[in-house]
Amino acid sequence: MNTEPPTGDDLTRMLVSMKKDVLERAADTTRRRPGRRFGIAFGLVALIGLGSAGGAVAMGFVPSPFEGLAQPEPSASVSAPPAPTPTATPTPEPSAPPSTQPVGGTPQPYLPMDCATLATESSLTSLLRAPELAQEEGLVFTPRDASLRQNGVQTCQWTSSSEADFAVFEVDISLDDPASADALAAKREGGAGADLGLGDDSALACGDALRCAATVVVGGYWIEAGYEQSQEFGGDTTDLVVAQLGRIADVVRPLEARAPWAADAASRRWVATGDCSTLDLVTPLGTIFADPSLDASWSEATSDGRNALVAAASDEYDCRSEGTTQDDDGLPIYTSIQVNVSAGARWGYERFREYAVAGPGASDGFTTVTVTGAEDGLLQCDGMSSICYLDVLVDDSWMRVIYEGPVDAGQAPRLVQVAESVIAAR
Amino acid sequence: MSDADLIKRAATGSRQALSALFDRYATTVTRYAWALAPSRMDVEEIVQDTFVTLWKKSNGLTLPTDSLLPWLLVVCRNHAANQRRKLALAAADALPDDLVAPDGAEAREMLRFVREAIDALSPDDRAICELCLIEGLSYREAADRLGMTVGAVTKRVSRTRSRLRKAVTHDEH
Repeated sequence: MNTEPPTGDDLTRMLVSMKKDVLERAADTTRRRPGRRFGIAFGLVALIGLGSAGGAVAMGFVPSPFEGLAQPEPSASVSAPPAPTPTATPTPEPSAPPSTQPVGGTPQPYLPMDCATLATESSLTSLLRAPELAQEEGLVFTPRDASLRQNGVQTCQWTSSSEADFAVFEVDISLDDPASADALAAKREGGAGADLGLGDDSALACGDALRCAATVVVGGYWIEAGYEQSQEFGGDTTDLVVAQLGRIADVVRPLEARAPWAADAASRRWVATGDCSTLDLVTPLGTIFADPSLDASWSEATSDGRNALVAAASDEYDCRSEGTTQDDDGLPIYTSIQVNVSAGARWGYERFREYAVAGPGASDGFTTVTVTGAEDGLLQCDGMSSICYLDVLVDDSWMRVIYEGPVDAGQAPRLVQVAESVIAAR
Repeated sequence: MSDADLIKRAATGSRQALSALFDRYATTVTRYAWALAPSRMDVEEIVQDTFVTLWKKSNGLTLPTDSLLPWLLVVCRNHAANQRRKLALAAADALPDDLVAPDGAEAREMLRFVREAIDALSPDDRAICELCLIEGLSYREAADRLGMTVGAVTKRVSRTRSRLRKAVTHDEH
């Protein structure tokens, strides 16, 4: 527009209106978009034997000025540090690890303990006031999540929040790997990372007063952990984080690791290197989308992940091509195509499909589509944000094609064509 | 809290983080959209779409620099362009005169309301804005040209090590 943009009260009213709309749309898309997580009320309180008043605070029923932030002491404690395993409370014993996992079945992480048990056993409420598990155990929203699970990674993320503040604690746990030495060295580089004295080896690095990351190697396991909160750390926040890591290390150390998961033979048709240079197409993207600028080669779509363990354990294809062209009127058209393939992740696709079609994520935005060469296809397009997702089950593997650009009725068949082209060239 | 921290929080589903990012950048994005869109209603739609895109893409969004603003401005530009294209297609019999891709001078003129905000950015962020919003590169292309691409080589090395380790571990079983 040629007029000056609004200022003062006029601008404020406009911003308030737009913000309300954005947050409402965000709330709506949280429930149904792929890649999002949903909160699960996490009933730790009863398990660790807190009193009813403390329990109400911890569960978020009673407003607390400390809710959502690291706590100097658990609400039921006066001065003694919390006991990792309260004697008055029966704690679930981890089941004996099986010697093998069913081939192609739902993978189990190397760590034979689920997130809820890990939180309970390590007294997580000493760190987070009202922890909620950010993602249902075993539910995966992306091929990368599936890839990590297949490679034995146990990922747990807990959040605790109030209207004003939040805190997050997350761990990724797998078998120790030579790459853990690099992670430890990186945290110690330049003297920034302190040695925690936990487990067999450990290091902590705090980038600022809001976030810390830790590496702990203990009993054959490699733990990458992170903690962050919305307010600057208090004097004892780091101590609380270290104490939590110590309890987790103590819980994890004696556990016998599960056997590795094995994929079905059919998935071997996908060369599980994740190297985008090996992801071929029968029909070039530029032909499919009538956009020559899309004929550049694939590049890695996302960075190495949230930590070194994730980078080492993810082996899915995560490839993107993007281009810019102009339509007949000279208007620019921006297009991005991303292809993810997690070899052997039939289980992940089926779990996601159940969630998206009949489960908590169900909406009429998902459409079943036929993809030649594949067993199943599920399409979701959001015209408002110009993003389409096509999830495909092929060779017992999970493929996702993500399109970003102008969304119209012609995009669905083009996405299908991309998937078919990749399948035909595999 | 840094932009990267808030993006990471948004990726976990925190609308508080999205709200904070909106408060931080909506004024600048609105001023840029004002120069791109034909009406106030279109400005509102573009700004909203820009922040909803941020919400949807926060999972996996990694910034090569400190500021989210260049990314938001590029997304804003893309939404504006796609909206103009959609409007043009819907009214093909009465195309407005200004429906052409802006040249460098015009693109620079469209930044007139946000020049101060861009000037306050770091040199790298200013360079991204220049390459994307004036020369027309995509965000990734600009990051690549400036040598900011995250190293895929490191990832491959790490994966190879991981695989070697797994092979040994599997043999042990």
